[in-house]
Amino acid sequence: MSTEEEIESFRQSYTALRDEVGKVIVGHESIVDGTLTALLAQGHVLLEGVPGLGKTLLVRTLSQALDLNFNRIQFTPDLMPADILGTNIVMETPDGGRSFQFQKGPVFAHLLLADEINRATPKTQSAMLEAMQEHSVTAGGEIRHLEDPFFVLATQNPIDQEGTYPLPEAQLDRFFLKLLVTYPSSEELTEVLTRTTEGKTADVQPVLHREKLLEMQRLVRQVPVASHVKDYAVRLVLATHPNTETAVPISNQFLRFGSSPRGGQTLLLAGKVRALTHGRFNVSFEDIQVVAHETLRHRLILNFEAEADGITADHIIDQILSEVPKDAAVAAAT
Amino acid sequence: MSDFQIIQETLKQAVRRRRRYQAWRGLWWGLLLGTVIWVLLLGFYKILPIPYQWVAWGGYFTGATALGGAVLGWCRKVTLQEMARWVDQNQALHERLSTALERASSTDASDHWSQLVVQDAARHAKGVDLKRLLPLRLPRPAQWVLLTLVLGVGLGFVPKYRSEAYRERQEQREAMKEAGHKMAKIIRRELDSRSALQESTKASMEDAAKLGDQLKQAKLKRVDALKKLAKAGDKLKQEAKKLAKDPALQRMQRSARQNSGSKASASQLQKRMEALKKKLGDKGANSEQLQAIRKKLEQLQKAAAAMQGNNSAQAAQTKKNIRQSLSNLQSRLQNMGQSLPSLQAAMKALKSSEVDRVLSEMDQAINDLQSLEEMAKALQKMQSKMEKMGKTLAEQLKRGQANTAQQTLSQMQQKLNQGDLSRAERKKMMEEIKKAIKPAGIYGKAGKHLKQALQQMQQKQNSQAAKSLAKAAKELEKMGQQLANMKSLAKALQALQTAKMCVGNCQKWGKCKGMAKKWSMFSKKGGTGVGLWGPDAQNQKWLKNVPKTGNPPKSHLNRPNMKPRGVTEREAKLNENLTPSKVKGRFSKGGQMPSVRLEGVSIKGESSVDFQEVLSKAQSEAESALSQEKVPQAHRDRVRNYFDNLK
Repeated sequence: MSTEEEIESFRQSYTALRDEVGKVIVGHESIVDGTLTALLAQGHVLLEGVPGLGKTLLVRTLSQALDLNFNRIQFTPDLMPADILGTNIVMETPDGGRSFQFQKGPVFAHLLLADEINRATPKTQSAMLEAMQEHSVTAGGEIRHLEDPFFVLATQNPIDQEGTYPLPEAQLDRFFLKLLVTYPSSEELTEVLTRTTEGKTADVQPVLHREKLLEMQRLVRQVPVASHVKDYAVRLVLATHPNTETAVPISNQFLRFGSSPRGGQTLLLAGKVRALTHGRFNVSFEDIQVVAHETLRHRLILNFEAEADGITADHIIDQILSEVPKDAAVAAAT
Repeated sequence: MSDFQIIQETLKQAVRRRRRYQAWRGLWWGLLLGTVIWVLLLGFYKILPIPYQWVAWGGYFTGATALGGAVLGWCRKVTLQEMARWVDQNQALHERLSTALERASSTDASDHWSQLVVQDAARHAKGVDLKRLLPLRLPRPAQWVLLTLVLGVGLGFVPKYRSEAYRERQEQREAMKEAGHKMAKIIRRELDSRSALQESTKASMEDAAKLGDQLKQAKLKRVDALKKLAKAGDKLKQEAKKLAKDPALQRMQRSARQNSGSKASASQLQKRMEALKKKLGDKGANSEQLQAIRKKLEQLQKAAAAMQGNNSAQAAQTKKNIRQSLSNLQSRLQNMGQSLPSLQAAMKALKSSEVDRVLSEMDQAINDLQSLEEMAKALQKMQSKMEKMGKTLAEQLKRGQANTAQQTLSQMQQKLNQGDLSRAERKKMMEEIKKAIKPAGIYGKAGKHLKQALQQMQQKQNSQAAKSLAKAAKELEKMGQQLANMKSLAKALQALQTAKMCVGNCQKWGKCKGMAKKWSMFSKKGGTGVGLWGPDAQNQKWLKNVPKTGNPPKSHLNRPNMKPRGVTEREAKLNENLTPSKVKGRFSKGGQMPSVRLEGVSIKGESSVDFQEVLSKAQSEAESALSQEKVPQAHRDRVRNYFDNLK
């Protein structure tokens, strides 16, 4: 198959997958797109939203459409790392003897829903996050690799903060995207009610198998990015670093820490996915700008002044996007 | 054409168009900058005393900035990569062209992805409409340029504000410039027209002309200008005095003054006189008689006019009287050797009672009489001139008639060259030459040549004598040239005086021209003096009694020569005090004080000169005196204040 055909196939698969998810999920196009982008870019997603907005349903639907192994972990304060990773248990052998055998935890799946991840203790969270980053788990002194694709969708509830353990900044950085699940519009809510109260259940068919997904993930990484577009992504990331030469004024005022280099990587990878889904063969400034909020918002650490003034990371990203010129050379020439 | 070539070609076209567009924009930006500066200068010009040239230069600067902007815009080079990025951004091509250009020129150019990117970019490059992307329409600065120009035009109608002091300074400047220009022009014209000027005279006049140039540039202060003018004037006067010492020139000048208006020689005058005599008849009708006849004729014409349409007995008597009078007039004219046919015709018409014809014939007769009268007057004038003209060479030389003497010498020379002189004629000529030797002594070497000619004639060397006479004539010609040089010098001095007046009074040349004192080379008359430093101040006893307080003399002092005169009824004979007096004064050794001569209309009972005229003349002289430091230090401010108060 030629590259052009591969790209066309990519688009078709993506559209099919999106349509399939759309059978169940009403609205939330950006959430669906974000989730699929992270999936294709081999990243993980943190979904933040109040309960009942369909976060879990989205992940479940996605697992159905993808024809992949799916596990769900409900994070609670008493959840232990072993509950996630698995543990060595004593098993009777056929010859009557006893031996330790590793019992795989729910993390051994292609698609993992980490529901209310901020309710678990940091110890459990870090065990989960190691798996997310390394695609492997260490249990009983043995490293066990997770099978590709490995995609974690974590959810967290922004309200009801009592008894929660907010994710540390270093761990948040592991997430490819942070998607904010908002309330549906009136039309969307009407549609949701119609679908869920009239006994009709959508029949979600798997449209993408594991090999195809891996192929698509490889294709994403091949999309070329022009040097000035890369430079733009770099300048965006650098603009978030407070008290540096490259920082924009708002960063100096409201940020404690800016984005890590991982923020730049996610900008480009997400941009590549967006370029392919839009039928282009290269990444544009627009791609970078569109994905900037989702990729950077959880990497910016706000200071007290920002929190006191009610400034959000999205506000700061908006300002950075407006202040950093897309193309410095063109801006100078015009 | 390959896909990559399509991209390149599109981008090259875009670069060319972009540079044109940059030049166009640069032009307007330059124009905006220039017009803003120009309007600012115009605004400043309206409220501040800056020269108008600044505004004009602002206009030129606008043109220069526009041109500079266009050139700068054109010179700013744009690379293909920059252009690709710019087109991507402005055509929303999602960085297709720039990525393709980069991939095509990188090491990965041959990979499949690069080809895909280039193909995609080429497809989009075809759809790029450069005319729409870079339209050559008026850019935004054009609106501002228009607005600025409108503002500039509006400012043009705003009257400019200038302080009184500034206006005065400007007037001074203008007056100085005009005076300098005119003075230099007049002096240079005189210099060009005279080739035989003495070196020192020429140098002085050239210096004066250069001073005129300096004044024209208006870089001198008023006081300095007056000082320099006075200095240059002194220099020229010295030159003029040197020339004026020559007695021959004095005589020639006097003669020229007497014969002003006529340059005819004696022989020409004689010819004209003979022609007039011929016309006036042998018996020499004089103008008074002719005038009397004309007046009588006019009276008769009036009487004849009154007779028109009247057939009474009285009218018949009048007719008879008129006829008688006409007959008398006719006989008087005949006695003078004149006859008027129109008078004869009038008498005939009167006889046949044709009054209209009588009147017209009498009209004709009056006109004829007027012509005769004018001829008689002209004849009398010529005769009087002829009388003044020397008859002999000696007389001519004595009277300073160098031109006539030259002609006489030429005639003698001709006669000598012809060699047909009778003994008597020869003797007469020798006698004439002998008499002329003494008066010719003052005309350079003319006397010597005449003496030589006489000796040669005595030795019967006619041709040699003719040559000597020619040399004498040449010498007289030289004297004539010197006189002309003196006139030039006088004109230069006159121009200098006028310039001084203009600078001193801040007035136009035309106005000062009439006011400036006419310079006379040979006039020995001084002015009446201005102020206390005038009339032989050192010898005035009353001045010695002035208490030395440093203050000016007070009015209570009894000044014998300054008694108030007031308005008096003039008697037929002028009061002794009203007799114009001449006062001379000296400030320093050799220097003469300035003077003012004022001429007023003399009417019995009152005599007046315009106050402003008196003031401006006096002030000009005072300024000149002050500038030359001829007024004592302690009195200078007072003199100035005095004239300022008069204003």
